[in-house]
Amino acid sequence: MGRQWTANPPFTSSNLVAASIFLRTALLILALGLTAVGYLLGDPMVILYKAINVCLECIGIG
Amino acid sequence: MISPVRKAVQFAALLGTNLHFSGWVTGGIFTGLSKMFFIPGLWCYSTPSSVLACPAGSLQAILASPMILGALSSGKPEALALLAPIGFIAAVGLSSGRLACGWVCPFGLVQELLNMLPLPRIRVPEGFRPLKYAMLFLFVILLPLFLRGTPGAPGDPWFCKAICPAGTALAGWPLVSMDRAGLFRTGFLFIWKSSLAVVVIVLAASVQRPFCRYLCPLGAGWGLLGKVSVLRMRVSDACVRCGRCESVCPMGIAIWKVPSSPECIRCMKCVGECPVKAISHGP
Repeated sequence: MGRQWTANPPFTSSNLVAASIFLRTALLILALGLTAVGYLLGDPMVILYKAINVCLECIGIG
Repeated sequence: MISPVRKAVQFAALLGTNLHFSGWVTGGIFTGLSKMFFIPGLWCYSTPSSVLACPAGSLQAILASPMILGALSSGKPEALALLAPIGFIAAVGLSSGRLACGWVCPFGLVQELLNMLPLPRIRVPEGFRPLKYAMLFLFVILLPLFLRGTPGAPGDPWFCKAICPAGTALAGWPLVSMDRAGLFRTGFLFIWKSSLAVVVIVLAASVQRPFCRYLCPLGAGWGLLGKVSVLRMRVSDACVRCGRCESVCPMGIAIWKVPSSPECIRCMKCVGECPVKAISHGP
């Protein structure tokens, strides 16, 4: 028995909304993954080193 | 009802970001491991009490580091450090656009408090709003990455160095005034940045959130990402176009015309103000 597209068509507005939410959530998860990769495989000490020393540029000296 | 809750969250974020109270007495900054992590807002990591890192400052610092161009072109693992601030900034923006500006950013709260001063209101031309995109792409990304004396030499965090009024007012002024050891020699740069900070502070008393509207590179990035964020504002057909939402909006936008405006900081003032409850938020 074939799928009844007339009763449940693929491109209804609710399906598009669901797809949109899925894609936006996937993008968010990707960004969180990038952050984790940055901390785990990169060198977070670069961030720490900058943050624990007085930033001369920030205060208008450097 | 939202407004007191939002204010409570803003003050909690301000407090949580500034737990190193002794810094205001000693003139030294916090050096603990928590500074490896970012605050979802703009707050200089050289502020005496700050215990977290500014994502915009960290991004510039990594982009300006001497090894980054070589690491990027040769695919060395050092370049992966960039993913932490980029991923964090993207995650905040993709979750809720500029919501962090309206609810968490301590410098946003500082501007809101300044705006409570009883000074005359002024209008700034709308044409200045795109300035913040130049701050993001030019001063935060391109200049730190490419403007170097010689290849392999370190660059500069140009937004921090030439523009950031939060760094000047909250880190520069206190640290320089408490500099009993005579470590800091102020010059033209300090005078320039101090002048800019004074303009922003004075303007904040007369215009709501001028830094967020015209200069903030984080707000620019989060506003653009807000177009595809999970949490978004919606305006239903029930809208009667009375304009009350626009009149209370701290960013001065007409949300009933552009619900997904990149300027919207998701403060939800309009939600409470709407007489027909046409404005909502959700995925």
